[in-house]
Amino acid sequence: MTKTRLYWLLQIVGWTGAMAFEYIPYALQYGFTASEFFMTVANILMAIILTHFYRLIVRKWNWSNLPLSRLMIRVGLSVAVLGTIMTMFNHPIDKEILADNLANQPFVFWGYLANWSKLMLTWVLSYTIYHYVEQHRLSDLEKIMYKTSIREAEAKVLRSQLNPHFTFNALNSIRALIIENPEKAQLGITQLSNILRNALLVDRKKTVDLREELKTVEDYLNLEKIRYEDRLQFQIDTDPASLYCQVPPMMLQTLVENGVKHGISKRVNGGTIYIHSTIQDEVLKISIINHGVLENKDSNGIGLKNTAERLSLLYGVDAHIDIRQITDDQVMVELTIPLLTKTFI
Amino acid sequence: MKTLIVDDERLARMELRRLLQAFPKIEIVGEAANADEALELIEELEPDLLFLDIQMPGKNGFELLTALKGSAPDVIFTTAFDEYAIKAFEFNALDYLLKPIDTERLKEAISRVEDNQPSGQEEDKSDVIRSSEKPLTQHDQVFVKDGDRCWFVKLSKVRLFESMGNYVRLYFDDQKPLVLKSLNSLEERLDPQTFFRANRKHIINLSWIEKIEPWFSGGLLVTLQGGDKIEISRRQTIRFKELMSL
Repeated sequence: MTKTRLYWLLQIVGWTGAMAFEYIPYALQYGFTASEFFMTVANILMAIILTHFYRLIVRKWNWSNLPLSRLMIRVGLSVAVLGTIMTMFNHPIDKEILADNLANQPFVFWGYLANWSKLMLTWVLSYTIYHYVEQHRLSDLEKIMYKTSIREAEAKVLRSQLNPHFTFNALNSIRALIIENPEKAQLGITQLSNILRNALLVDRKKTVDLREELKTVEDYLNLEKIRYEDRLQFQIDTDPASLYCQVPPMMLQTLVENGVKHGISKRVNGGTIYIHSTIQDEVLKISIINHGVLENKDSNGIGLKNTAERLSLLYGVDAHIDIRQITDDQVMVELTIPLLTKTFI
Repeated sequence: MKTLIVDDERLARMELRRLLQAFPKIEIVGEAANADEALELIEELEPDLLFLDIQMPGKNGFELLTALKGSAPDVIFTTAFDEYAIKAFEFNALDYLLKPIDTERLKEAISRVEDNQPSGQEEDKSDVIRSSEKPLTQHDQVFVKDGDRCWFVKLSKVRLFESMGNYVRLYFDDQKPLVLKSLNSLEERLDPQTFFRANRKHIINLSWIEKIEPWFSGGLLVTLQGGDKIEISRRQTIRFKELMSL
């Protein structure tokens, strides 16, 4: 059963039950009259309409998100308003049609008001409490899902980091170096180990010093240089003030790898990759410029999409990533990260 | 076996060269660092076997094969990790090696190629005509790529070429791939002793003809093994009779 159907069922069964509870003893004692019966039916419809109206208001102003104290005030006022409306409707009519001894007792108006308010209070409380509980359960669920999606984004980075194409090509180059240049081969294995270790650690740390991240990037580029030799040149130029900024691990590395994969590796004569970091107005900017032509296809998108997703999960709207063609044969990726003032989740 | 190594990484070429030292039958005639270099060397050296890296700057391995003008040599692909590219070849005889290359796998791949090579009937290699100018005969194989699927197909297996607008459909086994070529340009490259232009839309492989019957207005209707029926136009019938008579 959907929630909407359950709601309407409860509305009809509940109000019919409540009205019947009053009407049946009355009919048994004073006998059946058509006007009383129709009055009861009218009361059922009216109560349903009024409470439904209350529900619309709750939803429109999102009362279930309010703190408890403010919610209580609204609930109290609503009950008073609803009870008064029902009393104003019933009291004058009942005076005409009801048995004399009941309708003309003193204080009957207050009795009506108390009775209707009690019914409305029951309704409003059940409805509000249900939603209040539901809402908090959902927001807990959302928090869990949010954390899961961060985990997922990180896992994606990890997977793309352990890019098998890169790893096996690197191993192949190192195998060739063992004979040609054993020392370089040893260095290559150290660099590859560093990269693999960092990739495996990516989910342990939320952020790392930019300095550490740059070390990984350098290891990576040196390793690629074994493969590409003169076809790959690189230059890293950093603002010393930025070296201890916190950045998400493997993010810069992934972007540099993209630059090599989509830019430099596609050019017969290779190219150069520049990495530059600065701090401007409390914002860390890292740019990566590489030779290559921006493809408008999806193929270059996966790494970037992961990065953008990760950034927005970690920093919200303050952080972003831009990619654009800056000259005929150079592409720039710019990463903007607010300096870490907010805490991570 | 004249062998050409095509890989954009010097170290990868060097490593392969080192591994191939163990195979005396393999004679490495050259190395190419990209597809354009490779295309030149293939024309010039006419290798029997190509070790071909799939991922290269400029043209990749598949594009290189598609750009071949003459007969395609045997190919062993080398790749670090490329499920997608390897899948393209799942259903045909070509082999691929994963880098770093395992010596045992290399041995297997080479012996498979040796089995595949036509033994004994070495053509006159001193021929001055370059491979791209020689017509493609029954014994030659071509590389065909249609979308994601690739074939290496011996021309003797192709029974029919059918023109479809800018494309030509090849018929062999139960496959019918489309390739972006005109029937006219194809006709120029095929050996006229075997491949006959039956009409405006079809080239047939003469060795696949099963039955010939007279047809309307002086034409002929040939039935190929497998059941395809192709009409030979009146004009071509005269040439056909010349070709078939002793």
